[in-house]
Amino acid sequence: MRNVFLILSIALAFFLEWLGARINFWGMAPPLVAALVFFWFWRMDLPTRAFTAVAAGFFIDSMSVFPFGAYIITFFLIGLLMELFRFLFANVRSLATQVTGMGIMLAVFFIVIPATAFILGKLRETEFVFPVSYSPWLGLGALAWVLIILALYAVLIKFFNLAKN
Amino acid sequence: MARFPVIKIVFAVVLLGLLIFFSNARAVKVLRESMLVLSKPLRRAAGEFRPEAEPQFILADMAELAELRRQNLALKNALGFKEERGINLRGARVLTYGQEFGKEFLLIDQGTAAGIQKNDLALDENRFFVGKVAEVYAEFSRVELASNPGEVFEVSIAPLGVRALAKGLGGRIFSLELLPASSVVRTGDLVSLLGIAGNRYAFSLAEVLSVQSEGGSAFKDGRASLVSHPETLREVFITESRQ
Repeated sequence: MRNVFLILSIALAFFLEWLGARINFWGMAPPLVAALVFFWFWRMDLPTRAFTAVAAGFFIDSMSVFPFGAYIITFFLIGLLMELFRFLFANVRSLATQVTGMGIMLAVFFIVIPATAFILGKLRETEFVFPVSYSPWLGLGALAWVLIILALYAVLIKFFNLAKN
Repeated sequence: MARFPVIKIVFAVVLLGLLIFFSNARAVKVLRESMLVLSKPLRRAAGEFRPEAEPQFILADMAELAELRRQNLALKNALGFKEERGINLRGARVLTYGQEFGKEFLLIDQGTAAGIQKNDLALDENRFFVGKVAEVYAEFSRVELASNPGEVFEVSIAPLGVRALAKGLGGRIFSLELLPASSVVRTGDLVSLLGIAGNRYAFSLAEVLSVQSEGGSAFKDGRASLVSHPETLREVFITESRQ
């Protein structure tokens, strides 16, 4: 049942992301799918997280402008980072820990994706050009989305806990 | 039992490596295309909510006028020696408009099965240039917008036919470079893409936003914005870049 809910929620996130692609802050579209994947990562053990990272990353990479593999590698690395984060924090169930943890993962996502794309582009000898001239504003757009998604996370976690109880 | 999770993680890492290092293998390409097929109904549903395009009659008329003037000049030069051939256009439905980190793209429902190849050109219904085909599958293609960072085009600026380079900066903006300092280019002039079939055809690409010159330089720079509105497109027309 939980797996069905996971797949349906990610499908809904894709739908909303394609719907909202026109809504952007300084050229940065909402990363709803990535945010939802990180939400589910928090509730998985490491092996399940590794497979989910490969599966979700593969799905997004199939239709992404970035060199293939950028999302797979990014989700995998963030899955590992999340394990470290959960290890460091005693109370992983508290709302504040979850929101902070997922906020950090989102911020890391915005940095790791273009870096991975750049490295993969160099390795494959296909040039990936990051919008350097536009990047200061993209960073501001990323920050705006992180703050909005953190607020949504708090609501989602409350709802999820209520549904479980 | 404690080793079992480790084996699962190692298997996931091996799978990750295989998918990335053999991304061009046929099996992986088939899997990637099947992801697009799976997501097609959802994309179509999302696409029903795209905004309506504002009519661009004036720009379209200006573009047609500039094109007719150019063709007239070309025909005068080649009078009687060549038979004029129409350009081949193939229609394709737009499944999704997407944005990732400032890079915009369209996913269309035609691919190699319909004869589409990488680097083919995509136009909208006003024959404004949208972008180039960046990736092709059997039944799908991805068109990356002309204004994405890294894209460079040789252009001509109407009405005087000033030649320049248009470099994509993202955010639907181009940097116009190598404009001769003595050339007359004004805000609102149309920028057309050259290089199609020996310059027999030109497609409108952008509208000049600003021009600035630095004293003493042989060239001046400018900014232009993409005239097409890709987020509103329901179909595009693909033409070969080699015609």
